[in-house]
Amino acid sequence: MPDIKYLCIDDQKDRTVDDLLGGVSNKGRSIVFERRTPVEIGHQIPQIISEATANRNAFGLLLDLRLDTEADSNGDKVPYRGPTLAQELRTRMAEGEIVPAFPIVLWTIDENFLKSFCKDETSHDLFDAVYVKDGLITQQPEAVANEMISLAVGYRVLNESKQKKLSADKILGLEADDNVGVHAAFLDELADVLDHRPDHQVVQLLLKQLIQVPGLLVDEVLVAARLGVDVNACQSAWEQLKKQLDQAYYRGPFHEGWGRWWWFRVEDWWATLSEKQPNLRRISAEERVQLLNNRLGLDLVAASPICETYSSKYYTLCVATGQPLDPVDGLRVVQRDRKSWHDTQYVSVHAALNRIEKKAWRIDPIDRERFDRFKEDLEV
Amino acid sequence: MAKRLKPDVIKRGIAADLLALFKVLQEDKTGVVVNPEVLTSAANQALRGSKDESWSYEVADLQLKVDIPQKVFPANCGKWLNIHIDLDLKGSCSDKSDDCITDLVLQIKIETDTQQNICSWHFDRHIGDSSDAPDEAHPLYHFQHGGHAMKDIHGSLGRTLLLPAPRLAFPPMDAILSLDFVLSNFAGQSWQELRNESTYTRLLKESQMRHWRPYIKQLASWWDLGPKKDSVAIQALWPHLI
Repeated sequence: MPDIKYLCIDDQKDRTVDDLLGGVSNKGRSIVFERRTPVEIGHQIPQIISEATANRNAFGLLLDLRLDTEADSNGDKVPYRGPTLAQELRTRMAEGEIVPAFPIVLWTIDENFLKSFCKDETSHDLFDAVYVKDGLITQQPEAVANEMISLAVGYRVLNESKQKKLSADKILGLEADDNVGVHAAFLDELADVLDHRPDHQVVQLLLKQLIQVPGLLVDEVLVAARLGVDVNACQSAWEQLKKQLDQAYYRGPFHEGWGRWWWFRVEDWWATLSEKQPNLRRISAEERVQLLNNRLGLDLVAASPICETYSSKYYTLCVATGQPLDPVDGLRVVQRDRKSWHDTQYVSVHAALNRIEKKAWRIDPIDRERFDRFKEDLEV
Repeated sequence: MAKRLKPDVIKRGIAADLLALFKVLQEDKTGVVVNPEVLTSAANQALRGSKDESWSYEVADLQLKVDIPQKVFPANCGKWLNIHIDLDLKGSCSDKSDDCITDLVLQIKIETDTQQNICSWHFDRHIGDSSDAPDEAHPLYHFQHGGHAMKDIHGSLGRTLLLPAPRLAFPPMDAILSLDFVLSNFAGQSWQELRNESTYTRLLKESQMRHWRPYIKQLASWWDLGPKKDSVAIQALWPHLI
């Protein structure tokens, strides 16, 4: 398979951009970047289309949020920003002028620019991923590379699946028998979007409503929490346990960039461990880990709760601390645009009282009165 | 006579009802049930072994938060109650009798928010047959005050005496009937609001029809004229009948 090529359009001319891109495309990774400064939009769009055509099915676009701040060598500045260009490209993709569709990724120099972008929600659906240059790109370039490669591969897979008229369950790597129960609502929506919406909206549904929100799929941290395991305390045993969970691994589009497990399959696996396997939710982390260690001969270590007095019958993660939590010790938080297949999310009472990561969550009105009572207790 | 349904159809029906209840609770504005996702796991479980002649599911630790009622002892023991519902239910797809349930254990644990005070009720389908029937009344489906949750605090019961009797006869309950029972006793406002919700009432009606109608009809048949068809089975439900 050829390397994935990303065309990077950024008005910044110094070497910083090259250094950042170099970090992401470091040795051994199948991603290359070509850097350009923005040009007048009438020329910019054909230039992008031509690159996309030349690198069909292995192409992506990386756009800077602000394309309008630095002048080129002639002293000219373009008057538009990243989202404007992305909107134009998405419209042309939807109209069938740009085929096949390709990923558009946004990056920006710092959080402040990102904040201004976040206020304008109309632009959010244009981008498949958003990175901060001095954030994830610098800190975890390998993870960013995996995600960007996965985006291009995922677009190709979706495109081919649509050509072959594969059903929604097949695309996700599910069996026809799985099209019942908890998946039915999602599969129905996916089938509808596949039939009636442009490819980038299918991608939005998969990434933002399935992969990046816990529910049908769960990430490694949540799987570990639900199995009661403190991964940092037993990395090698955890890796062995993950092999056991292979049958539950999500193998649909974008799995290369975002490791996820089908929770219903993890439950099925758990139920097969012994004849009278207790329900996960009914036993503490210590009991879960003991069961796994006895059954599989591992040395897993149980995760400690956020506070000593908290239950260790974990089923969720505190949205503020990311630590395992039993909903009984949490308060529900507001989940905008929540779908029926998304899990309820909670902030631990401890994090709420201490205002940890306060900007990341807001207590749901149905639990506010209860939170007030906790606060009263503190004031006494 | 109604056509007998295949096991996979029965299981899909059970899973669909559990998911419908999940959706109702997820959208419930009173927010009385804290972790309705428990029901999605139950639905997943109900679908397993699609060709087996028996179905089963567990509602594992469904959590409710309710206001503490008045006249509670000890006084000032907390600000609200955490209620934990645990139901293990098993049934037969092929059973020709009206009662399709083969195993049922329901544990209702009620604790104060401080977790200092606990109360527990146990409801089950009696295991055993008439040959080993004890002298005391053991209705087939019965409630008992106490249960496993109380074992953990047996050393701190004060002057309270915990006894296995009386065992109170009550009709069988599945997931929605168990939840409705708890709501009706501990969360009156949420109970009333949910009863205005059409899916909730539809599920409730269907469950009552499936599980309560045969139970109550069988009991009432005790007074039918003519020879009794199955007096042992009726007395198993309600040993006091004579």
